[in-house]
This record gives sequence, structure tokens and C-alpha cells, in this order.
Amino acid sequence: MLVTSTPGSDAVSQPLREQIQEVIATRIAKPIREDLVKLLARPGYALHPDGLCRAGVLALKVHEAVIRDAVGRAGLLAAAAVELQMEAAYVFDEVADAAPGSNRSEDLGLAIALLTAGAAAAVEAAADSPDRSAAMDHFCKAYSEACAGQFLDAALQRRGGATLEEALQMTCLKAGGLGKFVTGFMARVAGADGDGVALFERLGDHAFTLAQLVDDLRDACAPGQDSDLAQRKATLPVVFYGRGIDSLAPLDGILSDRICNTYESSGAPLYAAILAHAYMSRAEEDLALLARHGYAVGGLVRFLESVDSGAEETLSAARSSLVS
Amino acid sequence: MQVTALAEALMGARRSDGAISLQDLQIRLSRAGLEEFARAVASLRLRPSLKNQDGPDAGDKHPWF
Repeated sequence: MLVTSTPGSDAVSQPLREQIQEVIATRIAKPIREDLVKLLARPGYALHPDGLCRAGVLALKVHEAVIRDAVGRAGLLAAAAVELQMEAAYVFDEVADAAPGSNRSEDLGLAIALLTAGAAAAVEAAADSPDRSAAMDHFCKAYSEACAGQFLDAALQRRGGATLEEALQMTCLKAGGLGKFVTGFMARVAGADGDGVALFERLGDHAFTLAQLVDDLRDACAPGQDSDLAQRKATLPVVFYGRGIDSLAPLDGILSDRICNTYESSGAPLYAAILAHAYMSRAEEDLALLARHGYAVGGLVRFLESVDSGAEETLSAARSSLVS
Repeated sequence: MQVTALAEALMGARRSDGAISLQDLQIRLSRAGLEEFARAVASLRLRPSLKNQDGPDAGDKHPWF
């Protein structure tokens, strides 16, 4: 099957979802299969009809760029493997953000099952790749970067007082590391050359960091207790806001309208928007270099365009927040 | 990436009324040798202005994280 339509569309994500379900059916213990499918059918997750499956879709676009032909079982399995790892990261992130006292220990058990199923799928996907051990070595090492980012995320939030450099390091590890994991694994499975693998890894790093910055911008501030600012997360816009001498701190984890107004006029949304644009330019440069190396980047261009169009409203709002 | 230098340039570009001119910020970043950010500001200037920004939505909070 040649997957050439819009990233995230059913033509791309449906075969991926079917592959994920097959992996669950064949590599997950029966007593938890149904619970795992229910978990992945929640809003935002891979099996939800509106789930974006960004990791798996990006992996399929990398495959298309290298192979220039229909994706076979190994390609779909590799895409399912990276998507399952990303879904596990979502679960850990959601459990970490859950309100104190909420019992999510069952979800942690399912997240570990997702990790093992993803690893099993990766082993089969890499079996016929030119350098199987290099592909699996990358699969494990690169994912540990994303784990390091999640560790740092929680540690900085608990410690407080994060610097902008620390916030950037956390963002790059957590999101950029995951992007590098996705593109680097599929590039190896598909048989890209050494230069190509390095460029695909850079592209994944920059594209996912861009997407994370847009998410951080969107989630930074809103009245109530759900926003990153209310939870004192160490994201770049929140840390920027905290540096201001007139920045008001949330009381008891609740953001007032006044604090939201102070945040909007602090320059923090504009700051994060500039960083997002810098990462967009980096990703575009990576695509240009990949094209120069002879890779068919059309699908990856459309993928990046889909990230950019999804960010349109958030970035435009940041631009208009205080610019004269 | 010089994230602290960008933050300082942005705060330095604020006028007394709190507003920031993207053109002025772009020039400041360029003069400070922060060309990557200057180009990013130039790109941001090309975006149309929309007034409403989405807040957090707990129902679909993580297309990424």
C-alpha cells in the first residue's frame, strides 16, 4: 500500500491503527488486551477516531521518502512500534499530571505493556533491515532520551525555579528526543545511508520540538487549575513569564483572570512563538538537505505543513498578544 | 540555542506602554548576532493576526505531550 495522502488522514492512519491492533492482539497478555484497547481509544490516543498518530504517521513518511514504494509489513510494524512507544509516553505524562490522590496505577501497568509490545514489534520490523542491531540499538538509546526529558520535566516542576536553558534542555530531550527516535528508527529499517539517517534524525528532533513548543504555548495559561502555569510546569513560556519582576504567581494552583491578563502581556506567548518559528526553519532546512540527498520528501513536506497549519491559530494569537 | 539572550532582547524591545514592535525586535536580534531568531521574527511577522487563542483542553491535551 502506497501511503501518499494527507498526513493524519484515514488513508494513512487506518492501516497503522489496524497494525497496532494486531500487535496488541498478538503480543499483549489476554487479561489486559481489552483494557489496553479502551485506553488507546480515549481522546488524543492512537485508536480514537480523531487520534493523530503523529509518531507512526511521521515514520510512514520517512519510509516513503527512503523506499519510494508501497509500505509493506515491516514498514507498518516499525510505524506501529514507534507509535506504541509514544502512546506509552502519553500515559506516563498523563499519570504524572493527574491530580494528587487520583488512582492511575492500572494505567501504569498498561503503559509498561505498551512498551514491551512496541519493542517486540520493533524487533520483527528490524529483522530484515540492512543493520538490524543498529536499528534496535537506536530504538532503545533514542527512546531513553525522551525518558530523560520526562524525568527532567517532573524534576524541574517539583524543584521550581527552572532557568530557560533548563526548560529548553527538557523540551529538546522530551519531544525532540522522541522525534529523533521515530525518524531514526524508520530510516534505519528502510535502509537509508549514514548521512540520510543523520538528517532524518535532525528532522524528527526539530519537527517534534516545534510541535511541543506550540503545545506549550497553547496550554500555558487559562483561568482555573489545568494550565501549565497553574501547575507551575517548567515549559519555556511559563519559565519566561516567571522571570518578570511583575509576574503574579498563582494562588493554590488556581489562575485568576488577572494573572492570565498579566501573562498575555508579559511577552511569554511571543517568546515561545519565536522559538517555534526558529524550529520550523530548522525542520525546513532539514527537508531541503534530504531532498538534495535524493530522498522523496513530498510526504514529509506535507507532514510539516500539517504541523504548521495546526499551529496557525496558536502562533497568530501569540503574535497579536502585545505587538504594536 | 541562546534562549536567555532572546528573552533579554525581547524584554529590551518593550516600549513604555508595554508594546513590542516586531520590526524593532528583528533589528535588535540581528545586531546582537542572533540571526536565527531575527529570521524567526521575520517569519512571524508574515503570519496573519488572529485574536482568539485556545486555552488548555483537558479532553485532548496531548497530540504530542
